[in-house]
Amino acid sequence: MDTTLKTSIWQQFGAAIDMLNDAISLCPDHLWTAVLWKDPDDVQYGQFWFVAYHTLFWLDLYLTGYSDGFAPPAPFIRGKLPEKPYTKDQIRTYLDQCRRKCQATIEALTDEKARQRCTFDWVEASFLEMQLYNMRHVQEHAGQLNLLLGQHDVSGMDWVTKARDKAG
Amino acid sequence: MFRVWIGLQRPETKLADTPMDTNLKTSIWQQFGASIDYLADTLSACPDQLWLASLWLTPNAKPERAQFWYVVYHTLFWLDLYLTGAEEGFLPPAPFTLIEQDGDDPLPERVYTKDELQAYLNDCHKKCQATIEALTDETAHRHCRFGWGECSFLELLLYNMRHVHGHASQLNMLLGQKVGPQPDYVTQAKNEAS
Repeated sequence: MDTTLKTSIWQQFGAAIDMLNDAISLCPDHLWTAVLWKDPDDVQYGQFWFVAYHTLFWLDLYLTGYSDGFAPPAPFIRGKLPEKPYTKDQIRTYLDQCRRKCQATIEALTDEKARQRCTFDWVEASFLEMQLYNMRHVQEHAGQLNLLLGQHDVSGMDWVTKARDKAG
Repeated sequence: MFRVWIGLQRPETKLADTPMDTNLKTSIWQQFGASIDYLADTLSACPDQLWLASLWLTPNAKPERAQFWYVVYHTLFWLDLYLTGAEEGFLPPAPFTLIEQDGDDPLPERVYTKDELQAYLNDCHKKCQATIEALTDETAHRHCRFGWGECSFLELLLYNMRHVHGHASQLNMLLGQKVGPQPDYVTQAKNEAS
């Protein structure tokens, strides 16, 4: 696979993950359960910690490429809310794992793998397209989490242009 | 929509002559187009009373910079410019100006209307699709330089997509906070701009 393509995807995908990392790192304790939007099913689905977890869960799953049999690493559970919110340390550890997995997945990408079909109920695409979809999904929630911080007078957030050399 | 490449690449083929991988073009357009469609849906859904609403607090900047209409304009300006690939020589269509590139941090002389921004968005949508459709290995590798760094034109497309999507999601969230259910996430590019 073309090196420019791999470099381009990693630099931008990594930058989106780094923006998510910044939002999580900058979130003060009192905003960890702040509500981004009102979710009709359960208020926790719209809280800062859960939106961060949701983003990482799908980042991990889409990097795997399929849903059947996928399970996040402990202590995370699939399909239901935990008894209490995951902690910032737990979420940051998961982010570091996902970041490494993302870089390794892109580095190992072949033309054959890039063309592999991925099927979900809401989208069917090549593995390559799914990674761009994945990048957009990470950027979506990173932008929203950063916006929530900006609405609460937290400073320090900035646009990340390229992936950093190391996880923050 | 895209030319299908069925031939084998000849050993002597130059970079400039090499057709781009169809899967790559399709992937980029489907996702980039979806981000633009998401911005279009969010722009359309904005009620008049939120056109000047602020997305975030601006203790160290002009408050207009955080208003709904200006964030849309900022997103479209850079979408257009990055599709061009260079700041030098770029000029947005009338009535828009080069204000985003002015280091003195000026503001437009007036608030742009929703109709004006929707028309600009439709132009950018067409330009984006045409740019990706015309992409060759040579143009993908073209080196681009900006104040924030350097990258290939291919990477700039992904950067641009991320920038559009980041702001679309923030605008969408503001609508969700102020008026309730917001436009759905767009999974792949729609066939035509709305």
